Amino acid sequence: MNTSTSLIMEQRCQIQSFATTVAVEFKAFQYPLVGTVSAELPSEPGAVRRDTAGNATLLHYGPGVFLAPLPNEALLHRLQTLETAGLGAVFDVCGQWHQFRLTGALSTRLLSSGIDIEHCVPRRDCAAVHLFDSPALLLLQSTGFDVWVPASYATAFSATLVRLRERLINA
Amino acid sequence: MTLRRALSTRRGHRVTSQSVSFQFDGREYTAQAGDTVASALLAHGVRLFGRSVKYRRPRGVFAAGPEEPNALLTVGTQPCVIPNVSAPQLAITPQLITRSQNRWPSLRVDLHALLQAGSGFLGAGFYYKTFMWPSWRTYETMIRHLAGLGEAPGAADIAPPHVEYVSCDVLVGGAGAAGLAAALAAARAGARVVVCEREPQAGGELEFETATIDEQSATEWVSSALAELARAGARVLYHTAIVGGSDGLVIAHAEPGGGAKDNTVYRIRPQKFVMAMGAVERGIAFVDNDRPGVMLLGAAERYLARYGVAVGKELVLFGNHDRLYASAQRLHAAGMRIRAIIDTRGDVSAVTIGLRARLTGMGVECLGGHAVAEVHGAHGVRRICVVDLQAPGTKIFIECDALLVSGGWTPMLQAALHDGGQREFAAQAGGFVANAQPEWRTAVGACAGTFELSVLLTESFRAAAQLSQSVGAMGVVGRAPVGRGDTAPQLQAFWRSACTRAQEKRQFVDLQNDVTVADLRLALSEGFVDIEHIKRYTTLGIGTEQGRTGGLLGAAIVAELKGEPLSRVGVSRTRPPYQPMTLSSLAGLNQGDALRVTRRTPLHAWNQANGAVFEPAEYWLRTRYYRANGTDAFTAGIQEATQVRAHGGILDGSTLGKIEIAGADAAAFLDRLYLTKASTMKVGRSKYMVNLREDGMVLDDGIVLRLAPNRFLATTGSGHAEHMLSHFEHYRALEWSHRQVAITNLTEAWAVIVVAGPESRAALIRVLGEAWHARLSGLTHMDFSVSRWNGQTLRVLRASFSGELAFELHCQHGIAVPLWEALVAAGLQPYGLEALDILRVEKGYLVSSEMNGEATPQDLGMDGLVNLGNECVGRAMLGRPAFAEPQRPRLVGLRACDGKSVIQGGAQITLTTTDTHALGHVSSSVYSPALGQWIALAFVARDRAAPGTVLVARDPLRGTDVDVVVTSPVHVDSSSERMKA
Repeated sequence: MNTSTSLIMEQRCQIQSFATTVAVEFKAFQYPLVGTVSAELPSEPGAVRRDTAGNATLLHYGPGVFLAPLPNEALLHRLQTLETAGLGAVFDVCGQWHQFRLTGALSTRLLSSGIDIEHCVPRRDCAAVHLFDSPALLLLQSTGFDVWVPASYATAFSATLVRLRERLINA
Repeated sequence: MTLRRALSTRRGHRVTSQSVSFQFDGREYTAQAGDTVASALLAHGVRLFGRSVKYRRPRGVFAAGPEEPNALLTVGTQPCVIPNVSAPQLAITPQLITRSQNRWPSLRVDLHALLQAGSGFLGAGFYYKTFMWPSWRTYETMIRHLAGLGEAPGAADIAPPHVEYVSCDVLVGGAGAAGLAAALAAARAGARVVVCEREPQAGGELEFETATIDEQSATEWVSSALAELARAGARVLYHTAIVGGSDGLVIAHAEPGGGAKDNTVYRIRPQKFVMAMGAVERGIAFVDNDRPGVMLLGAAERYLARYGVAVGKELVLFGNHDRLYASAQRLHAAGMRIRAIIDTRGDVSAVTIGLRARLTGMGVECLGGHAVAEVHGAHGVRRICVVDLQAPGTKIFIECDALLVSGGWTPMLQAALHDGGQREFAAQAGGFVANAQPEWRTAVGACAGTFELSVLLTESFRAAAQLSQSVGAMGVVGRAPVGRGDTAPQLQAFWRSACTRAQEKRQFVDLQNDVTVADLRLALSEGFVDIEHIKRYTTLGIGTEQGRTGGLLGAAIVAELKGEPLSRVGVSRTRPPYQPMTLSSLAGLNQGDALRVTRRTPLHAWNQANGAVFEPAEYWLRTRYYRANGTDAFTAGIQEATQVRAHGGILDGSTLGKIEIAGADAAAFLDRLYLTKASTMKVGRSKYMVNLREDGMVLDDGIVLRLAPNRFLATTGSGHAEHMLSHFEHYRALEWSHRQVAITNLTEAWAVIVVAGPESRAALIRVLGEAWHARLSGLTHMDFSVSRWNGQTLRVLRASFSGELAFELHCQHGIAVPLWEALVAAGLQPYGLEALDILRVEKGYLVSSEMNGEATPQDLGMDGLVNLGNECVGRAMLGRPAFAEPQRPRLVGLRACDGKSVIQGGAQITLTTTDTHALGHVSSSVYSPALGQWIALAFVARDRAAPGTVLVARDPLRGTDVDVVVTSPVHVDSSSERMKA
């Protein structure tokens, strides 16, 4: 897990915040995905590959666009091989995204304040959306949601989450 | 203050015996928990609730829901008031303070009522014809004081609403009989169901209608239906009204109530929408039909059933359908004294004749073929004048204190008329019903013109079952509920009683807006014949009531006056929100601190802690100046700019857009999107490059770095990255989809520190260390070098936006603050946008004031770039003849001729001080500490743009004219010696 700063621990809705220190994106040159890319990467829109612990390792969040949060050596090597083969490009996006994790019974309701959660997920495991006026990547987890926002939006996004959480709890 | 107590405890299904008190017009009253302000005041015998908007006529409660046109109250005290709250919907909460509106000094004695004497001058459209001489402004203050509904709050003290996005298979609007039947069918089929009910309880007309459904009383059936829906997981939202929507989205608004503290706005995207919002009772026009005590019949039944309130002691019922008699029986059974029933219908069925006979036996006088012609009583009904429709000269006077009117029901069609929905006239319903609808939407029940319980239960159930099947919910729904209730109304249209022309001024059609039959006749005579024009000219159907009780009535009277069928006249279209909402609810989450999202750089916290004054730039918060350098932007900007030129300074440039482009075809791709070629750059070099729009105008500029043979970093204007990314992606997807090009936004991944000034290189060497010495010393203008500092990647680009020796440091977040602090410790002072503006204008560099979407590269003096001849997006349009015309503006520099006058930004450039023809305008203007005077960049017609030309910068807003001389746009370091040191 990346650097963890826990903002508020509250049973009904926990909000954790992490600045991403390592992340890459892979962008396929062609979409729909063909050949090796289609075979090796999660090709369905919104598909997510996870490791044995359930952590998301590759998110297909846009047409031929993949985010690998905290990629291991093997994944990095694989993506670079695809790049060498002329099938796409790897971008170092360390620092571009800031990650939030929402868990607890209120997390769905909280995010429903900004987006039709039931429509976005779970038909797909991840989605690129606009949430509380911020571009965001939404990932469905077994206990809640992970949300990535561009780092410059993180402070405002965090304040919104906290404010909404308090209002919902006190409603 | 004396507390007014009710005489006895009332029984109604919405009130309990628990006591609560509230204020109305400075007096305190008791109420029962569950009461609304209207029901509580009616229980106390209060009849006067407000004054009408134009004529200030005394008005009482007319309805029992959002269709209430008269009893609009102000809640709270200034500065935190909410105006125009419907008294029948205003639940009493502890310490509630309410006031009537539109009266001065008091409700009982309103001096503005003298306006009635001038009512002849205040007819429809009076403001187009009167109050003109000598000027409208002579009357403006008075009219503004008198006009309008309610008073605006002086401050906002309303919590933002909750917002919730909801998905479902079937949305049902309304939880009356039709809505519940539809919801049951959908839920049994297995659909995900959401029901929106604007009242705090379900049932609709079943609240008081004598009915049985599936062998149960109406109340029992409603309870069992709700229980079944709960078991099926359906969601029933009370206090929640459908208020608008479009494009498949339905917006519902929930008032606080039922334990909830704040408003909630629901944004619902159903697969199917069943509109069961019912119908609204309407009135009939007769003389002085606006007096307190004249009320809708259904409203009286609701006040009795819900709150145990008798709206009068001596009642008369007036209408044109059979429900009069069913209502009369219920009211009589509840102990109300009914003096008479006035039924406009002469020929009626045998059933109706039998009903009349029964009621006559109970002491109720039943007058068929009669109509109420006039009401007597200024502050409340005292008696009515009834005429025989066959013999109009025959008048009967009946003493009463409440006249309950029902002219029929108008189906609630608002939601049915959007997204291409249509309506049609249905004679049996006496009005318009929903016609062709988008496939995802259907109207049922009274909303569709079906009023008979047994019929609407079956129709609604089947319609919902069908819709549910169409979305894949195929469960067994069973049979529809079987109900028996009030029979079909057998309505015969009757819109207004006969009267003299003079009396038409007191026949009210739209109570809320004081629109009378005389106004409609006047509008027609003046040529406003379309119902939409009549609406706007007379104000029929505007305001919070939105024509619910008067819209169709007004249209029907217009039809009579025109001699046309109502089906041809039509009714005006209502606009969302269909029920009033506060502006706060409309704003949703985006208000107060959350009005706009803000973006912060990695250096924001340091800047904030060190006295930065921020300003918004797009969504970014950027440092404008630092307080330590001056008490205001002007002073600090000059200090900071001077410091940079004399020694050096650092700027947080992290907002710079950064887009990385990679792939074997990246170079060729960029060649097509920039005015000059990227493919000729060596790795490790950068170039200043310009993008054009397809029409040839300059879109953006920036520096493109070649990071590797197949990888580039393109910088864009701050706040412009997303737009340029979209621009690049557009062409990549459309024209380059089979080529090897990929693009991504890395704006946040890299912090940028601009180090500028004669001492910048030396300071950098001290901070970055010996490992960087050789690199920095050998770095020529537009070169860049990549290495590491404190364990993280650092890219140093030698480029300048200030005209000084300068470097852009692109670093990862982890080292941004340490690097910044080290540079400060090395003697470089931070500077902000104010100083940046001074520096770049001195150097003639461009920002969005110049690249304003209307300038070609030649306009901006980029002829050299154009002449390099690269074929790119937009280039083909540069050859248009208009771009070469002598009057076309070109970028120049300006200085005040006297060396001291202020040149205002935005000033218009003319030949003389009396000339009003503008040759151009000032795009950027600053005080230059380097030159000791104001300088500017401006666009001036080419044939007047020769250096040395004397022109005038005219600012009519501030009343200044400044003689200026045209110069080169580069005011400082024209040979770029300092920059390339």
